[in-house]
Amino acid sequence: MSSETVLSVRGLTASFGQGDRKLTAVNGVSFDVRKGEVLGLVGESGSGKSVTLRALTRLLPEGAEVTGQVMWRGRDLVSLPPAALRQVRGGQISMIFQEPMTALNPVLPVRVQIEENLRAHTGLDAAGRKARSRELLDLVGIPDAARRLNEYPHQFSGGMRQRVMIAIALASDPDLLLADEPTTALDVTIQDQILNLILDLRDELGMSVVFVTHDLGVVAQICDRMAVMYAGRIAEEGPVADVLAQPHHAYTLGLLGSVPHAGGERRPLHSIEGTPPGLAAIPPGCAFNPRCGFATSECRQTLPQLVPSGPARQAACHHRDRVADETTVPIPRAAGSGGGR
Amino acid sequence: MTTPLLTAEAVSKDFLFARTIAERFTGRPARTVHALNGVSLEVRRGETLGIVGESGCGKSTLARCLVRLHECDAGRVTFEGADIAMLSGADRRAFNRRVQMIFQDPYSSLNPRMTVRQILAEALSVHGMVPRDRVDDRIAELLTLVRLPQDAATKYPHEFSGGQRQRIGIARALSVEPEVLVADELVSALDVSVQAQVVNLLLELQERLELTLVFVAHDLRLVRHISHRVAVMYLGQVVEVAPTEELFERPRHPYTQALLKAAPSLDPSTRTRKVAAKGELPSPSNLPSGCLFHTRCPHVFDRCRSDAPGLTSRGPGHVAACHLANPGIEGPA
Amino acid sequence: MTDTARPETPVPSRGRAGLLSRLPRTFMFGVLILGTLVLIAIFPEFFAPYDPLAFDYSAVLQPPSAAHPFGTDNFGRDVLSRVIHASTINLQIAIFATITPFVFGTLLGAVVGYVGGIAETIFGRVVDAVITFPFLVLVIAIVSVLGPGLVNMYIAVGLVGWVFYARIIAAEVKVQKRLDYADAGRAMGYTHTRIVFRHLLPNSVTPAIVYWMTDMALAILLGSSLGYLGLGAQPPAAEWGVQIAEGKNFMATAWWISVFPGIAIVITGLGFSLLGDGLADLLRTRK
Repeated sequence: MSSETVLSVRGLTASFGQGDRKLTAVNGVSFDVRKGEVLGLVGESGSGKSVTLRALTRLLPEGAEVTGQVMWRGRDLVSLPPAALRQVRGGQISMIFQEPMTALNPVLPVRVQIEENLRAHTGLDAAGRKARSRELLDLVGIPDAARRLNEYPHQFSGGMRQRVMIAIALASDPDLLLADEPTTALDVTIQDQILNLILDLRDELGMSVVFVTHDLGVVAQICDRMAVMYAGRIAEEGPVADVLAQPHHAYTLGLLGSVPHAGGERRPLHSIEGTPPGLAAIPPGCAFNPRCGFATSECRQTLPQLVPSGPARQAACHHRDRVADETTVPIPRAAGSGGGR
Repeated sequence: MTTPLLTAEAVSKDFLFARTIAERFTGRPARTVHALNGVSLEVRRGETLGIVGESGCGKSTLARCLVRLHECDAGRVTFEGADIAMLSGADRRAFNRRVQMIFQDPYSSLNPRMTVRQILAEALSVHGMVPRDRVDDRIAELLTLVRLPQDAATKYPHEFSGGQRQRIGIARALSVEPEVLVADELVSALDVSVQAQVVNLLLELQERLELTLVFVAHDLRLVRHISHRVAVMYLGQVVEVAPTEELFERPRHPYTQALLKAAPSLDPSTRTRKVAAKGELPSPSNLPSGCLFHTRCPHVFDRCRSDAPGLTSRGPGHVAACHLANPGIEGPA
Repeated sequence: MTDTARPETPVPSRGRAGLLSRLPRTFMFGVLILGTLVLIAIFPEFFAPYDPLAFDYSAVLQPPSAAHPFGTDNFGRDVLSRVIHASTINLQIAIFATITPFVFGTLLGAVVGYVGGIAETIFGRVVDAVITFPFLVLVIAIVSVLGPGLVNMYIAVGLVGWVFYARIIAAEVKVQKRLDYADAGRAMGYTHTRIVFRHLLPNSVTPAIVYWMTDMALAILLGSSLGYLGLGAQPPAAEWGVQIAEGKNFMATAWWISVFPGIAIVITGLGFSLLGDGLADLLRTRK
């Protein structure tokens, strides 16, 4: 795998509202995406993972404020003028969403929607666009592509709709695919098909992928590196196998303990207490401290910085060493090692 | 845990969809969705039976049939040997008390205009669970049981988080001291960390109160964690039932095998790039002939297209509906 | 015991304390208008400077002045006093013409929405039949048969008006009964009556209450229309519609006889509308 960095995000912050009601959904997030790699952004609801993804191309609702730096091919997407940004969006950087039914236009046949993107981002003539649309449907594994091009989104099943959306995203030959929980609404056997499709396309087209999900299993199966988000910040980041085998942040550890493992049947899960904080009430210091078994007064007062914590790894935890020691047991960890932490 | 407490015997359930105007004009018949096609299952006293399957497999419909929220079109559901469709009056009320359901959606399963106290007091008084002057004490006990703070009683559902609402739903079900709990996707709307809290609570309550649990879910990891036995459903049929470990270690139905393979494992070293099951779910209103899985099965042969396999024994307590004795390994049975 | 399931931190609650400050200003304005009106309607003698029925031939058709702020009519009656006394009758109309349709329509609509099937089909046909006739024409027809007068007007409006409430409630109950809490009630073994009236109705009644507010304003207009046509309140009783009718021959010379009762109708209608909007905000289920 090449290690050339294609996207470099520094101090990305996204907030909504003004004055007292200002809510910061993403707070100073930094990460790199390398060529051909799949980066997983993982977190629970309200962690800011989807907002981060959308903030990359400023695809946020009116009134959202984005600051920081998103470097893409020598240009900063945060300060890029709207017209130039539109060329990047849906062109070099494409996006797919969780619910394809709402992301597709219900009154246009899929052919029109694919060709629309081809017209905007390629120099193909009408005949070329038509041929390319067919190729794209073939590419994403939709059988009988020639006929199905003229059908409407509601005539496709959930999995097929997701394939259509991927075809539209691929129309412009993107270098980076932003995927916002694209398989969450799908059944496991269909999810498996779509995940494999995304990986195949990554290999064939040499794209990079940023994949947002709440499912650690999906991360384990398709991502090269992962960043765990909590309350709008990155808690830890690193190669998937390393992070899952030995978390350096207490939240990652808790998240892993919350997922049932083989061998621990019918025994209590190592769940995390409480619920993720709302944006309006993010605790001071480390945002995770009220739910954390490791928390000390330092955690309640000082915000931990994301600092290197191992080869190619970073963590924002004051007690990363203690956390790492707790998980010398490789996954799957036996759930019967006692209830208390 | 040997006597069946609750059984489904060849239960079928269809849903009729109203025709659109266009369909009326073209004379097309109304669309029937075959949600359940002859489901037989037994739930034993004290056990947790997991029911897994993907959307459209009929698992929620089955759950609703078990508590008589739906009436079966064919077949019957029995509780302690009595057909529940025949119960009326006091017997029906007793059944409704002893078999409780907990719902998936923490936002719609509680009446938004009633406080937690009102919700619980109603259940207690309708079934005459405690004398009037004991109601408040009992509510306090129930809140403790599901680990909600005492001041929760005076609050409305919208003041709670999703996980807390599910606890209220559990408290409501437990208030009438049931013997069976049917939980339909109880935690699937919750965040992972909150899911674990509710699962732990459920496990603990089951032990303490000696409950029988029917746990309906699409999440294989959760079902494996909670269940003693697991039933796998596909297109309104049970395709395999086995003790949990047996099912996960030695699945005998190609669909179960595909489902297990497709579920993303937490271990990155198990990555494969082979698709677990090709194709898509056939329409439940136009079922395939023979074995319902034959359109997607990697081991399909001629007989599968014409003959529907029945559930046959594959070991102690292990049944599967496949013409092959050991699909993927051996030839026809 | 493990650390696994301690109580979660409760979501910050938005209690009743903040209620007043969250009320929209328009709602408070509506309350102010109607509050004043109700006060006037209960104690008209206290506010009216003259006897509303007393003729004064020495002061006929006088324009608004310090002595008669709204002027006098062709019998020398003080228009202000008549408008004030009329408020009693008009508010009665607002309430009595709508309360029966509201209660009856709501109950019936809840049952129809819950039962569905054949009951819904029959109800649908009744609604179609009633809606195809213009409301006013239907009411006038009924009043003509029963004879003019306020009580007969209430009966006529009641016979027709319930349909609109029932339709609103039936539609809402139909939506609500698909939600899990209705199924939860059934699974708990609650009776249908309990599910409909204890669970579904309280969650469905908001749009009917909001419509009721608007309907009261419409009832005043209807009462005035019927009064104007001679089918509602009977002269010499003071009623805004009757007053407007009385002034119609003097429009060119004594506009004040008709215009001031007209303004009273507008203000009352405005009050009900503002109240209805505010109630809609207030009663909306918090999610």
